[in-house]
Amino acid sequence: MRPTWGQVRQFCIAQGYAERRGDHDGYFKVVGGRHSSGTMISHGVDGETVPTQMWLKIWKRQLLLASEDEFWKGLDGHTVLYDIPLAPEPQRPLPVYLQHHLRDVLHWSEEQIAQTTRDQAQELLNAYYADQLREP
Amino acid sequence: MLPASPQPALHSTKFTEARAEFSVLFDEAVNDELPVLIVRGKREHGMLISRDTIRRLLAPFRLHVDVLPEDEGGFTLWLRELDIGATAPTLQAARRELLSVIVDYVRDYWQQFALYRHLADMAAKEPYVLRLSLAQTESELMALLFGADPPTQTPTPKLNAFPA
Repeated sequence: MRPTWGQVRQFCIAQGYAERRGDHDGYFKVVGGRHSSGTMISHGVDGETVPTQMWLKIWKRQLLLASEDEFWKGLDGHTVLYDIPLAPEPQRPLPVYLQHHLRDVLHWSEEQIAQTTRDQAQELLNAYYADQLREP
Repeated sequence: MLPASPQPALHSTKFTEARAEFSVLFDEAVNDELPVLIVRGKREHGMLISRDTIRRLLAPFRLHVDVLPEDEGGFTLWLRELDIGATAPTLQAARRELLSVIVDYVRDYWQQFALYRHLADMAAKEPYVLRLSLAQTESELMALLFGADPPTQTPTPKLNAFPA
């Protein structure tokens, strides 16, 4: 079953996507912290059904939905599952030296530390020493 | 090991000096295609570089448009690298619509760049968006999308749609 373009618009509005009017109306939302979900809809096509191949691309590649069913769930504003690309490595536990840097040097809270990936923590540590590394 | 005070590999000049000799630097960057580094204070680094040089550097970021015949008739054209597409009853109409979608997308991308640069998927699109942004005519844009020979030999009007 495929939606009309109007239903795609309805989904985006119901799910709180930011709307940007233009030659094509754009809908955009940040999902999973660092990924984008969004689509563009032409004017005057709301009553038309989205073609098969295009629909596959929209729910999967643009809206990043976990399945097609999520679209129909979300049409009425219910919470939907997104297919967020996995982080390249498990987030936790951070090595002790990174935990120490975040907690004792940068004075981050445990909650902040828990939300930080290993790559992000390592970047912060690298940045901390960057000036020293640049010294002649 | 590098010497104690290495000379910059590129021609580097201070911001105030660059203002005074901008015409010379512009010639160097554009006519000689030699990038010039412009430094303000100690931490702000800008680069004067020709459009042709940037286009050459971005050449590896090739764009691919997939043709998807629709079961109901018509075609969807899908630009893989940006995950955007357009549908129309004919291939030519779909191509026209895709160009229009791309122009909108690129404009929006730069307008929202302060946000997009922090999103992994959107940040990865930057070289492709920049490459598309440098197209000055519709024929240049078509060449980027469809190769040197566009599918039809229709006239290619000036695009003038991207920000300068």
